[in-house]
Amino acid sequence: MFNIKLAAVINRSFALVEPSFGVRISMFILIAFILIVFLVLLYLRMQEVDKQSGIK
Amino acid sequence: MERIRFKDWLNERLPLVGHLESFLRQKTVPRHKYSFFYLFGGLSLFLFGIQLVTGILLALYYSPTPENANESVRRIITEVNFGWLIRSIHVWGANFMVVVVLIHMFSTYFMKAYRNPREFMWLTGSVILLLILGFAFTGYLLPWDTTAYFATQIGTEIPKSIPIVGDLVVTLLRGGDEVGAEALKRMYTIHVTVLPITAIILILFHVILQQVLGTSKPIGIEERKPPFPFLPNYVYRDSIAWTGTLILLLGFAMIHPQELGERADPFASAPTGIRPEWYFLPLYQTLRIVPTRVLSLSGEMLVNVALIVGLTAWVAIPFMDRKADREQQDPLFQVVGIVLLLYCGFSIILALLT
Amino acid sequence: MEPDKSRRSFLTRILVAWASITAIPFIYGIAQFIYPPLRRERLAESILAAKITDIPTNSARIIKFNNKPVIVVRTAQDQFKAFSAVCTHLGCIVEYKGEQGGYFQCNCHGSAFDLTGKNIRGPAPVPLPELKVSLKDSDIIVSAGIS
Repeated sequence: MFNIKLAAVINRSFALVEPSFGVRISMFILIAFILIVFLVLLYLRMQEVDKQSGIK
Repeated sequence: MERIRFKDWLNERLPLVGHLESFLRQKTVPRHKYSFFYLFGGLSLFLFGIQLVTGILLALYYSPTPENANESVRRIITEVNFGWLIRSIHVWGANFMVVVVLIHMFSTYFMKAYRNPREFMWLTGSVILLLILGFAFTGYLLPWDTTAYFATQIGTEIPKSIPIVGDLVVTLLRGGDEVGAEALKRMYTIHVTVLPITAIILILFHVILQQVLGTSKPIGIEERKPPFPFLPNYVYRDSIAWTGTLILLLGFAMIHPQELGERADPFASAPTGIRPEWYFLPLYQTLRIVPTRVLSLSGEMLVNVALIVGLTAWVAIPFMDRKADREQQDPLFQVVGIVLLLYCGFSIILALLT
Repeated sequence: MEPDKSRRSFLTRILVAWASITAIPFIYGIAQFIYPPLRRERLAESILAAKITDIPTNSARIIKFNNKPVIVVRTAQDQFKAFSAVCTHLGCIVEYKGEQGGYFQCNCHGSAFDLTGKNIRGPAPVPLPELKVSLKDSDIIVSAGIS
């Protein structure tokens, strides 16, 4: 069962509700980074697959 | 010990998986200078999925009564963990979806992808577009704030001037004479049951048809390079487009979260400068410029009739463009399309400026 | 022609691994969203339960105190007492019975509590928690707990 005190600590430290502009930007930078890395990997894999299929 | 690959394990138990995979590997996507637009169909599907997920999450906390609606949304954005984000994604997602679907529609129109044998794709696509506008219209009322209330008040007043069925349509939409608890309940039920079920069925049909009939090529276009195998090459392209769009959507949602207005007061006067969302502005602007009476007929009624006639004609395009069936270009339809696009574009800009 | 299925590209491995990492923030966000938010209500210390004239002798009334049901009883000796109205067995709401000197009965499984809150009959494991009652002019004030 989820510890109520733990939930309170997480809520305060990660500002999951009513976050300030700064917090939102930071959150966005984090998730954008993760997604951009994913995007780059997709792109590289796409190049690899294109070469394999001989269509490049 | 023999290592069994997961795919083979699955294929033993679900034989369709193997058939599906080989089919998708055989299917190709044409490669020419307009191939970029082929991404927008899948993108529409992706955004629909996001709306479905965020919508379900919001429905866990939303309350569809005039007393509680605004408060429940306020609670979502101020108390629920990541509530502000899920709600913002849902609202921005709706806007993204309309843009993407319109690009998808216009690009298939100009590439004449509606011609034989793809007529049913155009038909289902048209209905899906109307469903999406329906989603936007019904969803808009749910926060029950001042803007939403008056937008719905006006939006459900306009159909009154449709000949014969106008009053019936309005009564059914509102669940009565005015926009109140019944209207909210109806909009909510339509938004979360009727529209999703219908849309999912139609989208499934539309997507399966697309896979089976393959991707259409513009008439007389030259393909200088070999086509993309759908699996795996085009799937990677789709994935890149989807990831890029997700980054964009999250950016808007996180950096410019959606605000919530004050709870609606049906007895207060409508605020100044109120107008519908951008995708309804062409209709709004048209209603503004058409005079109240035209040759003793109601101007509003004429606009409604013109809209219905226009929509019917639009849906029937595959059956009107005879030259396309013979793989011949017909500049008339291109012109009509461009005129429509320009009209919508200018009326949106005009409505925003005045 | 056909890609060699047994040689899984290094890039594919990284891609799949990173996809799992990408999924984490989304799963985290949705899980956080679904878990109900903490209630931020401040608990009241006491409330005006009723007027003295509202409760006749040897009867009781159930009121809401911090969103929980509380039973306020005026005994046959005109004494005011307040207890949690939630049966300590499985949570049904008790009622006051004026016979046999006065007691609380739970109709769900037959538990009974006396006027000190003690569980005297049935499956209830522990007594009903008692709350403080004070009288101010014609007001009955209930405040948080004795037990």
